[in-house]
Amino acid sequence: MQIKKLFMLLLLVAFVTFTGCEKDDSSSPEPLKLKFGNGVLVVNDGKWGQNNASITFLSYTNDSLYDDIFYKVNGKNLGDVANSFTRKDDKGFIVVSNSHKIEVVNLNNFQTVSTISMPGYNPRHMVISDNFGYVTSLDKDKVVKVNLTTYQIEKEIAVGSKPEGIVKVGDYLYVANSGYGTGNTVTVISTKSDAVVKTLQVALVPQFLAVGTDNNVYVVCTGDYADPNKNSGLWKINTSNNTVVDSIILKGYPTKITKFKTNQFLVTNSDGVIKVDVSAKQTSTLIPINLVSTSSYPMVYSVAYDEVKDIIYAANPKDFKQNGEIIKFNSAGTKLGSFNCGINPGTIVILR
Amino acid sequence: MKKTIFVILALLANYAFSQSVLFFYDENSKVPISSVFVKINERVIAISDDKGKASISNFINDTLVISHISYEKIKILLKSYQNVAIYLKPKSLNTSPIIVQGKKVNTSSNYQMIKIDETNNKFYVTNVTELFKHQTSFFVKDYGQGMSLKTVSSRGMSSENTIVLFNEARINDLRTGSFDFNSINLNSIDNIDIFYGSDDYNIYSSVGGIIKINTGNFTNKQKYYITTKTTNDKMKSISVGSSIPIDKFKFSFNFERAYSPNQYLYEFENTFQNRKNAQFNKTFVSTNILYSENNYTNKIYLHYNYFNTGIPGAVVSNYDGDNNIENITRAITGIINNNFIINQNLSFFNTIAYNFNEFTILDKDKHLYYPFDKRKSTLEELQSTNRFFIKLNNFTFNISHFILYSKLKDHSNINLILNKTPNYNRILNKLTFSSNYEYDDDLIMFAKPSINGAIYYTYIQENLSKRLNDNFYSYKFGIILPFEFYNNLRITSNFLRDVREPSYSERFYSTIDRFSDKDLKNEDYYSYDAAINFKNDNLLPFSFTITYFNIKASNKIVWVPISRLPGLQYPVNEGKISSTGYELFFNAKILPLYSEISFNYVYNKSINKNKFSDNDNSYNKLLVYSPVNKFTANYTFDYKNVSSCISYNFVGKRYYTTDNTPRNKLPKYNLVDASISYKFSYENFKFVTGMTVMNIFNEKYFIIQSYPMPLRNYLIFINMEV
Repeated sequence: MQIKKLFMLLLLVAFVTFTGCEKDDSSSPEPLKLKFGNGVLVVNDGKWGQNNASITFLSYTNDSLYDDIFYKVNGKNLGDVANSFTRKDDKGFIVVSNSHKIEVVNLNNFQTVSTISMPGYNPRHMVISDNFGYVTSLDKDKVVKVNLTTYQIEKEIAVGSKPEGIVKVGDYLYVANSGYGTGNTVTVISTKSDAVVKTLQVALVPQFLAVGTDNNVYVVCTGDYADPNKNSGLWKINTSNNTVVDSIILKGYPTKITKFKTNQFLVTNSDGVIKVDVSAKQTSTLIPINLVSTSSYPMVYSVAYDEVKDIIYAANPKDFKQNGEIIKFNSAGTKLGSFNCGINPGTIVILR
Repeated sequence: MKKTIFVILALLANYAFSQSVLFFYDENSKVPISSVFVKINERVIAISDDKGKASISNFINDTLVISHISYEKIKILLKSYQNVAIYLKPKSLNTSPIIVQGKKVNTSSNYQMIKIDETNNKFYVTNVTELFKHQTSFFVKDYGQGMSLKTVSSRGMSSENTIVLFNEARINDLRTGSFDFNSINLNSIDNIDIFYGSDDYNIYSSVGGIIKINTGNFTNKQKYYITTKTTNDKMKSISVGSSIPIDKFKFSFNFERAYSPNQYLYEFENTFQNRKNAQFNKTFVSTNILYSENNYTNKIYLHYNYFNTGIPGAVVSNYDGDNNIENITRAITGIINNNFIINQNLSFFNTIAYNFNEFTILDKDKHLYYPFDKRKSTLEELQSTNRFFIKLNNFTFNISHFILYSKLKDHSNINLILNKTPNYNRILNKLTFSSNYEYDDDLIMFAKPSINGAIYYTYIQENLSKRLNDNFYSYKFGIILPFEFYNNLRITSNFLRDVREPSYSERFYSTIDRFSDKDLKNEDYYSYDAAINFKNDNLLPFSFTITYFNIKASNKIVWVPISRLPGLQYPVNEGKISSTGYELFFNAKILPLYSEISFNYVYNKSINKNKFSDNDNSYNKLLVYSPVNKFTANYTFDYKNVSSCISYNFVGKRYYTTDNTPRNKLPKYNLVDASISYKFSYENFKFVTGMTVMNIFNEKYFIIQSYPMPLRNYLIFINMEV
């Protein structure tokens, strides 16, 4: 019996020791009271499947950095893969693709206004037209029309395979059909009729689009994942007649695009950040990749340009498995500084 | 202090009040026999040591059953406390239960054997990895109960660093390039050998240890059994089998059919959800044929495995509509083991194996593999191992050659994005020379110390996107120092310079993306461990081992999600890793209480030592999913017809981001499982029935982020044997 008692004591000691020996440093969110104003909003994808998307905000008002603000304000996780952000007045729409939802937040305090649940849609990007949001659905090969008063889905419009980016010019929506690496089309939708009016052929893997100062649409075609020498670059759509009118070849897997100076864009590729002058059809490396990342597999994960402050923000995802950072450059490509953000900063938005 | 410890050990060693000491010898050679089991009512009360000695007490007038895998079982009745020499008769040629795989010179710092029998796990669990969770220091990564993906790893290494041999053959799964524990069933397994760290007996070296799974379950009498199991999540399993000895042959046959919806509750964002699409159904058929003669044994093993499982995916939303994907695996595996004992000093072993693996993905929604809704991949492997064991005076030598031809046609991976279906061929040659020298006298304070060493040469030819030839050496050396004053106390130490070639999947994925490393290099390791092993075979049989280990790795292959496409990751050579820690094992038989306790504790810090820039916050941080503390304890009680076991499992917190931020952390968890069984007979039928309760205290826990584990769940079983 002595031994039995000893054993039970041993088990008890072991249980207490091992359950108590590690501190559980989980922290519940601190209440964050913040008046959001101008600044840089970083939407961090998080790591796929880990439910750790987050929002970082650099305030221009007080030059302070606020990390993980959605969690801290709302006391819940943002979700899995926060893929894009769209703004309408004082509301922000965070498209959380792998959580199949759109979080609507009040941009004054970042509190959740509504959650638009889109099960099975895998929403990726959104554009606003009047009081409606048009959202690309990766899994349904559709663009979904959402009423921004009721936050209900009103209509679904079939497009090409695996739609990603979407922009609006006038009464038309332009949807990049990525085809998971096999697509090469852009679907044009009329917002008057909510119907497809045209499908345009571009190069392989169109994912992101931007509207130029000439009011035309520029489509980034990433090209063949396996062969960087195949056609890739910027394809121009004339929005007055919805035809593909020109292209500029860019190698090295061009991906993200943002508007820069007049008739200029910044495009990310494996060399870093490329300045593309679409009127002169000239390209040059503005920010070499090693100024953003020195990892074994460097990448500029996203880019944005603040034309008022004349600052370029380029995202460094580091090893894709830890918090990243945003590096600031002036428009000549000189490094100005940096600030930390969350995991995989995939979208940078200038809020004014 | 040292004197005190010495005195305590000496007292323990000589404590022999009211006990008998049995000495077991081979009837023919008069050589002492180790690992003889002394049992009463199927309960093991003692096991003979290297000198053939086993001590027992309090069993006067009890009938003792003496058994050993290579000797005839006998029964004896002790009338008084005495020292007895018992000569065992080698089993006749047709009753040898398993092939003896050569003279085993165990030089690893820690060796463990799990015997799969009625009183040890056969019925209580549904998967082999559950044994690893309860009884070893391996860390089991489980992506959800049932038949979801499970991997085992040790000492902070990845699962690729643990080599699994199945009947001495390397049987790989085409998805992971390593052994799939779901591909076998428990009833067909006889025992599992586990070598922590390196061991020169094996053809392979690996810093993450070597696991050897041996099938058989042969018996001396005809036996037929049927077992049914069911769980609260509606898992249903039926197994039937037989064991038939005929002259010089022994046959065993196992069949299992299992199905489960595998739906269970989990908590997600403060609401309880029901996990879906985790269902599986499985059909497994295996047969073993053993033929034995004086100096020759031959075992033929064959299995067919059909395995269909849903893919529940990561739980990151309330939406489960993505989960319409199913995996179907069909595998045929055949292994032939030949064992020739040419003379006392020379033996030869040969293994030939063929493995065919077909893997189909059904993706009716085309979510993963657009534009396809069904993809099929195949893997074929043909291998041969030839080994000579030579004994020359105080030396033993092992000369081995292993060749493995693999042909992979993979249509299931992300290369579909590239619209390509590449083939992959590999020929892997390994040549091993190892030697052990045992000094035949005392040296300083050590009794018959020995040194050992091994050189491993590997030559690989691969053909994927380009042809690749590679060759490299690895080596090890070690010492074993049994203490003169008590040779059950010994120090073992090993140094290993190891190299690991990329697995199929690592090599395969490495070629398909712009950022992946198309010239993926081998991983390099320097590993050192030292252990103190102590064993007491007397009144209170117990053993403990404490091991210190230190591993340094470079060119560690890590998977990084470098594409924005959902869920894609690619292997790259990145890591420098330092892994240090301690393993503590303890096992004791409390014979008067019909009990046995065991526990193991692992303290392990696996740290990233790679810094790619000044702002890399992963430097000097713990590797992802690498717990610092892990503790397992088991208490078994075995009296007459009742067997029971309670098991406690603690795993410390783990991070799933490389910078170890608290927000990206999985909390520690404590699990308590318990099982009880009852044996009874009715006419010629023997029955065993019982139940297991897992996660008794309803712990909500994750082993892998976004893959919830089940709350409290039950398993009920009944076995009938004739």
